[in-house]
Amino acid sequence: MAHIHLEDGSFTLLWVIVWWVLALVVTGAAIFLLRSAKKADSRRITLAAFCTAAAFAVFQVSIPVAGGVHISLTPLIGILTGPVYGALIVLIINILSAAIGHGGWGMIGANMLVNVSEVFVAYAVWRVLRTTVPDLFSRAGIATLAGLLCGSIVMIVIILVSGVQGVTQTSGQVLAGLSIIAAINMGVAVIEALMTGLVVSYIGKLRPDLLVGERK
Amino acid sequence: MSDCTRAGPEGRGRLVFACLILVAGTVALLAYAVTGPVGIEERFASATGTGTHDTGEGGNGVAGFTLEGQPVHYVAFLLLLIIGCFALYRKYAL
Repeated sequence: MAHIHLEDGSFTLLWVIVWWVLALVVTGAAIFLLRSAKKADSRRITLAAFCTAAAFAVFQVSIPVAGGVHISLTPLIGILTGPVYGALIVLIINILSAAIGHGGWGMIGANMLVNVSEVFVAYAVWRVLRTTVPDLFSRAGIATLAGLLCGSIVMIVIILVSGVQGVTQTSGQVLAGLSIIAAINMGVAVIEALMTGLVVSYIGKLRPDLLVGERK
Repeated sequence: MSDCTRAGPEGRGRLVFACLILVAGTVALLAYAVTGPVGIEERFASATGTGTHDTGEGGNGVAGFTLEGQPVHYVAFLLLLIIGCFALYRKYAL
């Protein structure tokens, strides 16, 4: 998964504020959409809570693959809860992560945007492929890979646009280094795609009504 | 459900997924060959030119699995989330 593993002070205050403001705009839009809904989907709220707890629990664990990697479950969040709840879930996870010392407070805005892009793209691909790929396992897997690839790209763009303070490396060198990280992230994305595919196909067998867009 | 029972689209979806896995896996292996077995923090520090910093990881962990951040806070927040989930489940079900 993509997550900006930089400590506070790596970005200038201006960029910290810019990413925070954009993240708050996304959050505000999500809250507006939820409040404008005629009737709250209470089951979706419960599901969102479960997703929050599971993603928070998993996200803090460094898995001993390729020297240590994380799994985020953001695509699964997008598939199960949709982008509106998903945006709020990733905000909560990023805040709690910073609170326990995993990631800086100033990075929450940027990291939320990275994770929202994963949620949104995974959800969009999941919905778009509904008719062409009816198999839940492969559709969820493809959506996960697409979401996590997008997250890695957004992460690189945010870091390159912001610049990292106090380093002598050129943008090209940073881009090369981050591209390698993104490539390794795609290996982790394969694991996450298989996991997400299994979870979604299992839920699809037992409770297809819980899958966004699959309700009969 | 009739769409889901057709072998064609299912097979096509699995084929596409398998190809994507193959491509992503190959790219990741090539990248791993470049960096070697270093942690995500070290990879970031190397990529951006920043120094490594203390992430507060919880010791050596279990079977190589380690915790990022403060373990006590992690458990506390996780407990709160689980209690919240339980309360919502009792109220709204699923």
